[in-house]
Amino acid sequence: MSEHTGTINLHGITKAFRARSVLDGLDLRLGSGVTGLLGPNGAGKTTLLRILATVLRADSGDLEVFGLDPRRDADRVEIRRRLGYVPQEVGFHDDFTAFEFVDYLAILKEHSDRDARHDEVRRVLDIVGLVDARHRKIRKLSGGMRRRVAIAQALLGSPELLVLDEPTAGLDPEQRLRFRELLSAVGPSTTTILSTHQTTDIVALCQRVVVLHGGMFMFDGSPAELSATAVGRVWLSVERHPGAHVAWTTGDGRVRNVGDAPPGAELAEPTIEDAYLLLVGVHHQPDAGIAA
Amino acid sequence: MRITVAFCLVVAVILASGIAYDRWDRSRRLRFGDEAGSTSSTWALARVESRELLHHPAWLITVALVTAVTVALIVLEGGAESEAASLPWFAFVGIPMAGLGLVVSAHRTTTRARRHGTDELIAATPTAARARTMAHLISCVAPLTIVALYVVLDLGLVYVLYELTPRPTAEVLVPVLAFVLPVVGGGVVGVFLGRWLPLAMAPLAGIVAILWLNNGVEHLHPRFRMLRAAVEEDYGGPFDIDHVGWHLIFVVSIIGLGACLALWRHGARQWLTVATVAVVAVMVSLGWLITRPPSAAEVADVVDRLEHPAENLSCTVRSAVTYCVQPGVEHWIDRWGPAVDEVLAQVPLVARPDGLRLVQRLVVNPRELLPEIQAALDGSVAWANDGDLHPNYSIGEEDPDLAVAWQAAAVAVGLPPATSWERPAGCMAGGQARTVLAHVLAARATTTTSRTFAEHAEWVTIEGREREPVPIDVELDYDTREAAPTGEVNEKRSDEWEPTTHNVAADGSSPRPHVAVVGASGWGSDVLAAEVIASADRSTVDAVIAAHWDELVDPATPTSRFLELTGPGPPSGSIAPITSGDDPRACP
Repeated sequence: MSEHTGTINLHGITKAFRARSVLDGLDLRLGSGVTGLLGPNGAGKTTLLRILATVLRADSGDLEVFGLDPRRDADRVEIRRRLGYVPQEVGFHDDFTAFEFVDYLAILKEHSDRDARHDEVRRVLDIVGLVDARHRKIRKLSGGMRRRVAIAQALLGSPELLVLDEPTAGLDPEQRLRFRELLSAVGPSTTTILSTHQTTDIVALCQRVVVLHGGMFMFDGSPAELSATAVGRVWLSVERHPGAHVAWTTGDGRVRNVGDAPPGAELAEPTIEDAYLLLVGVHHQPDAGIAA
Repeated sequence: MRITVAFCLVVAVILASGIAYDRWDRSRRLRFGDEAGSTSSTWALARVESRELLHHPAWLITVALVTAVTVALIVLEGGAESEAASLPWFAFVGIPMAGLGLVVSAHRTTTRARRHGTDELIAATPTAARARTMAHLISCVAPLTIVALYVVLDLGLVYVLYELTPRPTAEVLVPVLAFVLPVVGGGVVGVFLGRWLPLAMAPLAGIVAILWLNNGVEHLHPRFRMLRAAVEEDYGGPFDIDHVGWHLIFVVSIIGLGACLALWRHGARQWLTVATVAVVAVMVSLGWLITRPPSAAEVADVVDRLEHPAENLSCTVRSAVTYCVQPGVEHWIDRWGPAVDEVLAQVPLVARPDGLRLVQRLVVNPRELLPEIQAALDGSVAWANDGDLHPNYSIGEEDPDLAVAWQAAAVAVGLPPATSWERPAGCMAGGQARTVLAHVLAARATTTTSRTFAEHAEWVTIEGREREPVPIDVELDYDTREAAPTGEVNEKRSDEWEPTTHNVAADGSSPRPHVAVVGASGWGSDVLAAEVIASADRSTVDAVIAAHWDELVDPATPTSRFLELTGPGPPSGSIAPITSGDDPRACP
C-alpha cells in the first residue's frame, strides 16, 4: 500500500449481501488527486463507492472521510455536503428538463439562494456542454447527454470529494475527452475516485490506481507502477502462443501475447491493460477481442 | 361508533400493509439512504413539488373533467337552472373530485424517486428524506390557487353567459370557504399513501377507502358527516347544537393525522409525537363533540329559540309595525317594509290592525332536529298562529316581500296568516269576499307580488284547482321566479309544487308532527276572482274597498258580491260555494 495523507481512510471494511462477501477487510488511504479504481465486474467496486458515498453502510471496519465518521448521523450529513456522486446506474426524472433536474439536486444539496443556485446550475451545465440543451426534457436527451447531466449534478458546489462510478459509460470519444478535460480542471485539492473499465481514462487522468478483485485490493500504486508489473510478460509472435493467458491479433498482423513469456520471445512494452489482465488472472480466451 | 372502527381499521390496514411491503421490498432489492439529514431545503423543495403537482397529468385530467362537466351542465342544461352554475355544486362536487384527483397525483409525485431510480443519487445529498416528505405535504396547498382561479372562471362564465351575479349568501360562502379541506386533504392522503404504500394501485385503493368511509358507513348519521368539508343546512341547520366550525376543525385534524402518519415513515421525532398526539386528541374530542347528545341546557336553548323567536331577535319599529329579525339581516326590514306598508295603505284607516308585529322564523325541518329537541318542542307554540306575521323563508332569500304581503293582507281582513313552515290550510274561508280581498291587497302591493300572483292564478287554472283549497299564500319558489323574470310559469315550477301541496290534506292536516297547521285557505276560484278584480281599474276597486270594507270582511259576504261591486264580471269557470259558519273547518 502507498502512504497517503488520508481524505479517506478505510480500515478492515467488509460488506456482504446475504451469504456472499463482496468486500473483505479493505484497508486504504486516499488523498487529494484522482484515483482510479479498476476491477472486473462483481469485484465490489460499486459497493465500495456506495460506502464512500454514504448511501450504503459497511458491515464492519472503520471508515473516515474528512476525519468524519459516517456512522454518526451528523458526520454523515457533513460528508454529503462535501460530496459529488455519480452512481453507476443513474435514474432521472424524465419529465424534468436538464436544468430542472440539476436544480432539484442543487436544492437537495442545500443551495438555498435561488439566484445563486441557478447560476451554479448553469455553470455546471456549461462545463458538461449542456447549457444549450438545458430546457430539453431529460427523456428527449440521448444516453450520452443524460450521462453528462449526471456528471453535472456531481460538480455542483465544487465538492471536495468526487465519487464517480463509471461516469464515461455511454460517452462517445469526443465526450470522453471532454470529460477528461473537465476532470483535470477540477481543483488539485479535490479527492476524486473514479471507477471505470476504460484503462485509457486511468492512464490519462489518475495519479493513482487501485485494483480491486474478489473484494480485496490487488494493487495500489501509480499507473506506471501498474504497467511495470507486466514488464517481461508481454511479447509479440507470429502465432498465438499456447502459454499466453490472453492473446490477440494486432493491426500489423502480429499476435500480442500476455502471460509468462517463453525464453527468447520478442518482448513488447506493457500497457496498464496488460498489467491489469495479468493481475486479475484472466485465463486463456482465444481472440478475446479486447481492444488495444 | 362503527365509523370510528372503520376509520381506525383503514388506517391500521394501510400502516400494516406498508410495513409488510417494506420488509418484502428490502428482501428483494437494495435500498439506499437513511433518515439523517437537514431540513433547510424544505421550502425550496416545496416550490418544486408544487410545480410538479400542478403539472401532473392526474391533476390536469381531473381539472379538465370538472371543467368539461361544469361547462356542459351550464351550457346544455340552461344556465341558471343548472346546479353546476352555482357555487354549492362546485363546493360539493367539483372540489371533492379535484381532491380525489390529487390523491393520485400526490402519490405519483411522492413516489417519483423510487419509480425513476433516483433514490441512490438523492440519498447522497445532505437533505433528509423527511424534508422531502414535508415538501410534498406543503405542496398540497398549491392546487388551491387553481381552485380559486376556477371559482372565479366558473362565476365569470355564468355572469357572461347569463348576466347572473353570484349571490354571496351564507349557505354559499360557508362551503366555498371550506373548499381548502378536500383539496389539501386529497393531496395529503396521496403523500401518506406514497410514503407507506408506493404501489401504483395504492391511490386507487385510497380513493375507494375515502368513498367508503364517507358514503358507506353511517353516512346517513344525522350529525356525523365524516369528511364532508361543509355543513349542510338540512341537518338541523342553525338549530344544531354544533358550531359549524367544529366539524371543519374535525376534518382538519384528520388531514393533520394523515400528514403526521406520512412523516412517521421517517421514524419517531419528539415534535412529531407531540403533533400526532395533538391531532388525535383534537380528532377524538371533536368527534365526540359533534356527535354527543345535547345537554338539557342546549335543548332548552334551541326550543326557546324556536318557540319564542321574538325574544331572541333584534326588533325595530317602522311605520307603526314592529319588525323582529335575525341579527345581521336587519336590512331586510327595508324589503319587508314597503310590502306591508302598501297592503295597509289600501285598508281604511279605522280598519287597520293595531300593533302589527313581524317576527322572523327560520326554516327548519322538524324531522331533522335532534330527537331530544323534537321531543321537547311544542309545535303548536313554535308555529302558532299568534297574530304576528312570520316570514317563512330562510335567511338568504332575496325576495322576502312576498310572504309578508299575503300575511299582512290576511291579518287585515281578519283571517289567520299562513305562517307555518309548510303550506298550511288551517281553516277554510272559501267563497268568502274577504279571501278574495286578501289576495287583491297583496297582489297590488308591489310589482313583485303582482307578477307572482299572476303566476299563482295561472297555476290554479293549469292544475284545475278551482274547487280545491288554496292557501292565502303564493308558495313560490323564489329561485325559479328569479330565473324567469318575465313571469312565465314553467313546467318545472308546477312540478315542484305538486308534492308540497300533497303534504297538506284537504282537511288542513299536515303529516309533519311539529308543524302547527295555521293560516286560512280559500278556493282556487277565489284566486281567479281576485285576479279579475286586481286587473280591473284600480281607482274603482279602491273606491269599492273604501266604501264597502266592513261588508267585504264579513265572513258571510260571498265572493260574487265583491265581483258585483267592482263590476269586471265573473272569472272563467264557476265560483265555488261559500264556506258557511257551520262548517267545522270554517275560519272564525
